[in-house]
Amino acid sequence: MTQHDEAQVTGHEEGPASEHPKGPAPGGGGWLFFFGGLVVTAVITWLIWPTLLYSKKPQPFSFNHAIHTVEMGMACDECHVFTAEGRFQGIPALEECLTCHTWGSRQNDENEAETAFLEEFVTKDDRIKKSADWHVYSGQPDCVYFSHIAHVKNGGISCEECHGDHGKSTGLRPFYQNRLTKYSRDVWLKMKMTDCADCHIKNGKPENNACFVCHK
Amino acid sequence: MKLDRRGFIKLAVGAAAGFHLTPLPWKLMDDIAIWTQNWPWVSRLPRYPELAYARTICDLCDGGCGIKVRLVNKTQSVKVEGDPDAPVNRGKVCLMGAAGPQYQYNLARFHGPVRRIGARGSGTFVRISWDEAFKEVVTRLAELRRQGQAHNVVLVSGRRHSLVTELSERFLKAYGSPNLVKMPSVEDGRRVADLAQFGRSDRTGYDLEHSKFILSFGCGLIEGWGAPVRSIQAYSGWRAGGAAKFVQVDTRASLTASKADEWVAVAPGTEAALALGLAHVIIKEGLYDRTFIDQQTFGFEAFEALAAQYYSPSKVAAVTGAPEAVIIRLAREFARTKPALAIAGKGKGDLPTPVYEIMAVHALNALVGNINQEGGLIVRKELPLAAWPEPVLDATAQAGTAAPRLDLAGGDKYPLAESLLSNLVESIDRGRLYPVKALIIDRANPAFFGPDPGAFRAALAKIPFVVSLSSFADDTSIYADIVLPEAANFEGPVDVINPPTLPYPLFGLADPALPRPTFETKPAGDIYITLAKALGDGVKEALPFKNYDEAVKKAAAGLFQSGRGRVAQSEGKALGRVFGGQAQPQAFDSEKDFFKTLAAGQFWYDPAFTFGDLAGAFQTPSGRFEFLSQTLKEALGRAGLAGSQGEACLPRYEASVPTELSHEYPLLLVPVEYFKLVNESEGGAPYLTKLLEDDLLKGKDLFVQINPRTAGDLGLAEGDRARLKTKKGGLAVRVHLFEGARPGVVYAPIGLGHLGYDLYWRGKGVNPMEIVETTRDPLSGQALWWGTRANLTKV
Repeated sequence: MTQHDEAQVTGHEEGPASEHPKGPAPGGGGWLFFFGGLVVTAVITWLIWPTLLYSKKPQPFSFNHAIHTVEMGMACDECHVFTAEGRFQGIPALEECLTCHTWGSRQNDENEAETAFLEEFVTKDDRIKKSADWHVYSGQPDCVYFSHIAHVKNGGISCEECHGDHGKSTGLRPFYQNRLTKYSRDVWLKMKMTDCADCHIKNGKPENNACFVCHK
Repeated sequence: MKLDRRGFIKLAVGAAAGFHLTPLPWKLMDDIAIWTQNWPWVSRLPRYPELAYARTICDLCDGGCGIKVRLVNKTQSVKVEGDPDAPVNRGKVCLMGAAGPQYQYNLARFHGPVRRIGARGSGTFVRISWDEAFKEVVTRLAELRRQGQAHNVVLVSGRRHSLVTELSERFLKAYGSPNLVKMPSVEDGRRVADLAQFGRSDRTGYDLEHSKFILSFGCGLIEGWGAPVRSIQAYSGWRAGGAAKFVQVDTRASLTASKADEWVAVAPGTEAALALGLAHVIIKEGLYDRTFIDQQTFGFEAFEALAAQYYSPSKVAAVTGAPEAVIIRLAREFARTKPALAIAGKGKGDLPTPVYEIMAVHALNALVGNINQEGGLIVRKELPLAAWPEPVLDATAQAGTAAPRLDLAGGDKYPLAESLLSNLVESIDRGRLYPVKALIIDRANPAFFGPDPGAFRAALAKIPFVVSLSSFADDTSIYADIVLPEAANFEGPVDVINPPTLPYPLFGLADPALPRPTFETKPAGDIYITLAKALGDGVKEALPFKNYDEAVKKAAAGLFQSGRGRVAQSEGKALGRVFGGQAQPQAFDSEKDFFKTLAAGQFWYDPAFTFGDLAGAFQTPSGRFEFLSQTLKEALGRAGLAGSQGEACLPRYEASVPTELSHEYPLLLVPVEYFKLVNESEGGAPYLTKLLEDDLLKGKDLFVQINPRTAGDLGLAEGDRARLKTKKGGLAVRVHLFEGARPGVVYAPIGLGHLGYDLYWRGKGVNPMEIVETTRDPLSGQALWWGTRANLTKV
């Protein structure tokens, strides 16, 4: 406490305060402190905490979707295939990449991205050197059973509706993983249970919100 | 600006408010909740599991279905699909088979051999090693054998269609005991009836698929009868385009009856009378196949006289309750439609059917000459398995096996019986003949299912040493002193011999679906071989196999040597007609080539058949189909039971269900079999509880079914609690009103009320078998329990 404050307090004790209010109101700063505190925590929780909560992980290789889809005109399910019995394969295994990209079958050695891929993952005799441990942006928890075929083939929902223009991206953005839950940040942003439920209702399928439909 | 106390508080309040204006608290709460999913002891799914199918044969019943088991990381079964190349089930599975994966991690399973430490029936066990377990069993068995008490050992077995049955028989014989007692089944009656009329046992099958008129005497065709999946598929075939007419004779509107073209309701246990009533009309109206009767049958005149005297439509109508007009119309339809097939064996086949009833139904087929015809009753060709070398019995074994059987089967009083569980229990209870010193239970659950489970449990208390081979803590194995758990479904090699009612010979041999057992179990065949080896002497020599695999291969080599049949293989298209089709015998370069093909195809079968060929079909003394059975006459004559005119040797109706009801017990209690309820020792899958409707089991209450009219008389309404009482005891049940129930009859589902198994099955419902009364089959001596006097009172 400063001397000035002490004097004020003393003065306050000596005479009726209501008569001689001097300087700022008691508690200095008034609502400023309140708003100050509010702003500080808001900044911490909005801006700083998220960077602490999520670890940023690079993908093993900066895969260029656009070259495949836009330039080569491939469809999503040419690589992200459905098996005959309807199971969605998710991210293709490296073996799938090797059906097109090998040292042996390379037509154009000016394609730097392809060279980089081959250098990193494929031996000179065209065998897999190491595995690519992709981080799945929209990987759901174990307790959730998400069926792609139910949504894409039976429900007629396009890939873009959930995955946006990921299929046209030229590189892979980093993967943000929640340090606590170990799940992808994307799941919390757009694939929480309420999002599933809202979409089911919006599309006239409220019966799909029964527990056992997704939680097996 | 100074930060004083008030300022500080404002700052703190501001900070707190700011905190709550952000999503952080909610997000943190959510994250913490989700974080619990990642605790190290919470099991996680493998991220990139390896998915594969393993082929095997379903081991849950004798149906012989080839299946594909979906495996995750080669060790976890997650799904069962039918194998499209398997001749019996052609790519389909039944509800039991589909629940197969739930046996892998079933809560009721033993994780390895155990020794009982608690009281019998308490299910308190301690794990021991296989070495210890074998040592303990062998020590006890060797001791008994040394003391000349080998015959005091009893084996109760529920196996019928596997080489393991033969291994266990051989084991017991070489050990020195005559007491192998099989669980009662429809096959007991079928065996005696076949022996009486065809001169050979267990050889009749039905060409269900190609018949145009099927008259079923209570067979639960779509409820687990015969080879269950095959029967259901045959039914679907009749349905497709009205290819055949299907008539179900049943006391209640069972699922099968309700899906038949016509349901003929009869009083419980009077099916034989109806069959003979039809025979009466067919003979009287001259609708029978004269050529067949003249050339291929024996004793027709005696049968004609019997039918004429006792089974006129009016008399039969009085007994069965089926209208006279229906009897006459059915007889005409049956005789005029070609081919028409009559089939016997009530329910799904766990309850024994009276021998006379099966004989009467066989006789109907003979009357219309539909034996070895397309769509008819087929005398199945022999399955050419090679016989193992005949065991040489040592002195102990010779002395032991010479002892009379404890169940009196095959003796003077019951010359036609193979085994009689009810007599065994009686012998133990009364101390008849000699005491039981050790009991081995193999894939059987007599403390739950059988003529009198309560009496069996009481008998267990008198047996000093009980060994079970069950993989599950079932109603019986919880009484065992030592459990040597056999490999469960998917875990062990499987072999199947001639699934019931199949018209062609079939042998299935499959490897386990799982690379190793989930728990410490061993294939039952290996358990017998190991026991034999450890017992040494003649027992060891009688089972001269390295392991079960070698034993099975030795037998299966006969299939190759026969030069007959073919092995199932992927045709790349739907399996066409199997039985009686154009399939040629398959040629194999060598025995090695044969076993390689068999390992891939799993099934050897011989579907070739010349319809109309009766050569060798009848091995009776007359060489013909015998209406008047000389085999019976001879056997019953010895026992003084044949009757003066041999009338006991003709198909007849003998009431196996009480016909006179008393004031005290004005109703008839009839047990009902359900496909989804398990009676034997395979355990219950938790999934299957989801199939039990609210009018079958609600909470822990079992519902019995009665006609609304009966309910009205008794003052009962839907869902009422009631006491079901017979002379043997009472059960607390609830009442379901069902129009398809015969008035005056209480239908009680069997398969619930377990004392064993896991929390999904134990203590749910009650077991009507505890209170049913048995009668005896006049021919086989087998206990029958198709009707008990009962009353039902509201509580």
